[in-house]
Amino acid sequence: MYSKKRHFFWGVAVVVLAAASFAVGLPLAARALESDALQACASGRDSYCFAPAFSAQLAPLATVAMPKLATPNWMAAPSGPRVVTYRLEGHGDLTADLGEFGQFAAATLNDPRGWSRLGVRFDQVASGGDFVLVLSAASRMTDFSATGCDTTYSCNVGNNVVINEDRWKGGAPAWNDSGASLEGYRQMVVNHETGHWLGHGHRKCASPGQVAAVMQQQSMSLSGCIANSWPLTDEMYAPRLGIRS
Amino acid sequence: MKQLFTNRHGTKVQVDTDLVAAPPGLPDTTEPRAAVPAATGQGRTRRRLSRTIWLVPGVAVLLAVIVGIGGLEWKTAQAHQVQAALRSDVQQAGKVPLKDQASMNQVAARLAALPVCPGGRLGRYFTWYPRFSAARQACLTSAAQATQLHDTLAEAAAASGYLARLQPLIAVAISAQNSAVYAVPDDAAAVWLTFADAQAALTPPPALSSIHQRIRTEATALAGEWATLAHADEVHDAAAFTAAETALAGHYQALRAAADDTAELVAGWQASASRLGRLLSAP
Repeated sequence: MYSKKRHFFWGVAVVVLAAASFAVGLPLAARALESDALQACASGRDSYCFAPAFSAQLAPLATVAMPKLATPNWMAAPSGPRVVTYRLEGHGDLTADLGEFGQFAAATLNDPRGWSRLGVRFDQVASGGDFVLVLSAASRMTDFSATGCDTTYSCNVGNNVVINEDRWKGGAPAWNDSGASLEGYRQMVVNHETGHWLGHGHRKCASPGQVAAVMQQQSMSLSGCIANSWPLTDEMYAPRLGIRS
Repeated sequence: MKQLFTNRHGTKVQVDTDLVAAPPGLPDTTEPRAAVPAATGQGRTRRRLSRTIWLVPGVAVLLAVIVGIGGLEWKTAQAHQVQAALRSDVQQAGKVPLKDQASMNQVAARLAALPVCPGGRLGRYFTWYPRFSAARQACLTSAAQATQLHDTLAEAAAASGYLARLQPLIAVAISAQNSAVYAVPDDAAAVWLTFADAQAALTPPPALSSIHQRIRTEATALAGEWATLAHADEVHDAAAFTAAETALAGHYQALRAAADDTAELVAGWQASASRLGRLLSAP
């Protein structure tokens, strides 16, 4: 009886050990294979290692890119600025004045310091429009996208340029702590989210003490940069409109 | 009474039997050799002769077997020695850093000069001897791996030499096309045409011949599309301008793809060389 129990115990132990070593060994082996496949050999350490010598030789060909191409003048709009239209909407139970928001946003979009430098005029329209400028209650932000928007910040989803009402009314701690004004924050957030619609991604603080790009996430952190509401000269392009820098 | 005997030397002698008769009182056990009569002397000679005849070749065969086995063992040891020397040479050659075509060629030359496994007609005849056969086979396997390693290195060396000549041509073209903030289409067309001509003058190794051809095709196409774009700009043809711009992006992408494919080829050689190096260094 005792002997049977002992055999059973050792049998179970062997099975458990085998399973454990398989479970641990398999991922390790897979990782080893993966690293073998991804990592080249090291010159001076591994024998017959010549692959690194080719890296420098192939670098120019591997990185060859088309140079910047200016849009010829004769291809530019024949007269006056290009018109981009937008529709104004409120979303959720708002306590802020939507009309005041609309006037402020229109002034910001057409400010000579803003995206109008692209040669674009932003016209508000009653229906349709190239994009929709929305002032949304913070609690309803995720209606636009459960993953792309949250209740804390503003966002852009497709043709919806959505400004979070809480941020509109109170700015953001990172911005406010820098001593910059609420008016400046409002200009920044309208320009930033419209910039996304124009085709811009996020930028980082170039270096502490520099003026922040408008596409930097200044609501979250200035990272040592100086608060800035307006797009920089090197941000003056709009892939969505086919306007190159 | 006198009788004729043959003594142990085979000499016939006459013996007076009365003189050698047994003394009285003792039984006379000396029997005349009735069973070995006079003719039996010749039989003994034949037997001795035949024994000698068999002994000589027997000893010779024994000696031959001993010498033969000794020879085979010597050949076996030789095969082991050659294999060990070959692997040692491969390991030593593997310590040379491979930075460029010259160093790759140098190591490839060392691999080409490795000792040769014992073989030839004699080796093939002796393969029935299991120990020699196994040692020779092991040596031949190592030699084949070393040859493969040599071939891989030689291929990589040739590719490295070609790319070393291509690299400055590409660098010049890139630098020239990026000399202004915005591209000058006419200049870019000239740059890529010059590059295509210079590249066509290079002789690629067989492994890179298709990639060489692709680069040439794409460079020529770039020159053509830049010229088309310049012309579209002159005649204010927006559709042609946009089409040329799109095509240019595709040709630049194709050039980068050629680099990627070359890198993949090199990675394949490297994997093969590393594997063979490890096999030949394993104890």
